[in-house]
Amino acid sequence: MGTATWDALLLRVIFCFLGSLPHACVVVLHQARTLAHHMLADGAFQRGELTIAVADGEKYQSWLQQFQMGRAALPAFAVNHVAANALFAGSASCFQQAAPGADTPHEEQLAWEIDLPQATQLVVGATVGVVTPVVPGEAEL
Amino acid sequence: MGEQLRRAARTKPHDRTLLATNVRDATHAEVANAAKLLHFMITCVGPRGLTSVSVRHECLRVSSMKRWWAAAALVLACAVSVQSLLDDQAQLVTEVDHSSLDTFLDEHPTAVVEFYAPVCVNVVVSVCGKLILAFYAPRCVVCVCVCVWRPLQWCSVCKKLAPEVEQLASLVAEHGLDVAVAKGNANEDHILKERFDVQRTPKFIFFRNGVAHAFKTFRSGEAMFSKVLATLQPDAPPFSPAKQFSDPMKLTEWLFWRGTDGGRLEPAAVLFQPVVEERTSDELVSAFHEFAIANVLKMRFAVVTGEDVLQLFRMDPDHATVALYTEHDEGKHVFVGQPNKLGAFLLARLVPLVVPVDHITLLKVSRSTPLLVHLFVSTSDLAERKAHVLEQVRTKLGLLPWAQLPGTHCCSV
Repeated sequence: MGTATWDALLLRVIFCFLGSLPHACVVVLHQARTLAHHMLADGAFQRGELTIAVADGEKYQSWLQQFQMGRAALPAFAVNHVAANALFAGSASCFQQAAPGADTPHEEQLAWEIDLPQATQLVVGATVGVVTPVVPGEAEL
Repeated sequence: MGEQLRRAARTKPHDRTLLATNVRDATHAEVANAAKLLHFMITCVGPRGLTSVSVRHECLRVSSMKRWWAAAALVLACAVSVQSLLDDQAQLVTEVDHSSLDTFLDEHPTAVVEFYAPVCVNVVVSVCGKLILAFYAPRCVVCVCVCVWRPLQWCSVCKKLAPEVEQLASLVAEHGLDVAVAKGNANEDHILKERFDVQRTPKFIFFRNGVAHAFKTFRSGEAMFSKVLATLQPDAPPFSPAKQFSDPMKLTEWLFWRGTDGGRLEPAAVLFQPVVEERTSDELVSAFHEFAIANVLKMRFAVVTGEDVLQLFRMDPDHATVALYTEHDEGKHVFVGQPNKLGAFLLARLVPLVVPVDHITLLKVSRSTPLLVHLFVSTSDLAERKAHVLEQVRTKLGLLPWAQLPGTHCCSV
């Protein structure tokens, strides 16, 4: 085997040592970063004006309830306009079926991926008041 | 004797041996019961600067008087003296809150303020203008119920810090410096806590001419006093909270090592300088130090010199460069642009772009950003992907040894 192959194997072995859900986490965070950079490049926001928080929707179902959403909505988008103290719930249109790719361990993908234009539209709409805010649920976010 | 005690307190308020010697000359050997009473009274009043054990011990050593009434009067005198001694010490440290702090600062342009709280979580000391603020927590939770009887009993950390701040106050008074000392409750006074961003203990902040500086390694009253004394010298250079590094290993440890308890890693702005030069000789260097002085509460600062360090960190070997190392996993941000844009650049990147959150970190994240976009994902989806990945690894690695260990380093999702 060549050096590159050994490197790949070594990386995979180390990868397995790193964590219980490392790859999936990396994929999710990568998609979130892609969305963030897309919005920055689009000029919708400046650096420092927003943060994308990735959370476990099953563990924190009370947070979902705060946005009037349930577990069935996962994966889900929601916007908390901290400055305006308003909550906005995203729709399923913010996600789309993942495009088929190389099905190798290091190129594994989730079944879904973020629809960048739709997600950007939701976030921008929430900030300019186009999207209707939700009435917060009982659970405290 | 009371005057002796007060004089002793003024000269060396924390020298318990000296205080005990003064007590010994005026007490009686047969007043053991009275000494116990004195012990109890001192314990109730509080042990600040004076241990009841040493006083009782010295009471038992001396013998001259035998009448109980004299002993009782003596005990009363001792108690009053101790109380007045504590009052004298307390006067060195004035109690302030958010409403009286500004007035206090107007009256005392040079001052030390100590903030305390009933829960042992925060310790911060700062110096403002010529003012030093000390935030700390004097009581642990367990001690709260005891405090009905022992109002000045503090938890171990705060108890350790309190004499040092008092020692600073006494040293300042001894040297005739125009520095007042005060204290405030950081846990109960939330306005004050928010104003000075008291989040972590121990943390010391130095204010000079209305600008905040950091004292993050305040271990003793002498050290604090030396720092104050140095900064008050007329020829003292402009104070900068930036730490100096020339060793790459020490810089790496300072930047990335969370400590054995895996504590929080604060963001750090680092100025890489090819050579040591005057702060005003380069606009970027000057802007960095100005920003560091004004934003010492928001991040750590360091100045790094040495060609080998710059080469190791892949920085420009010919020009000064500023890089921000954030606490969230985004690597470093190297500043490129006009020096007057440096502050906005650093502050904007303190807000994380993408961050995994849980119930502990969400509050902090939501405080730092004006717009929080939530991405909720399902762990079952991720678990399926994980099983698929592991199966692929198992198939393709074949007989190569490998193992999977549970870990929590990545994120909570």
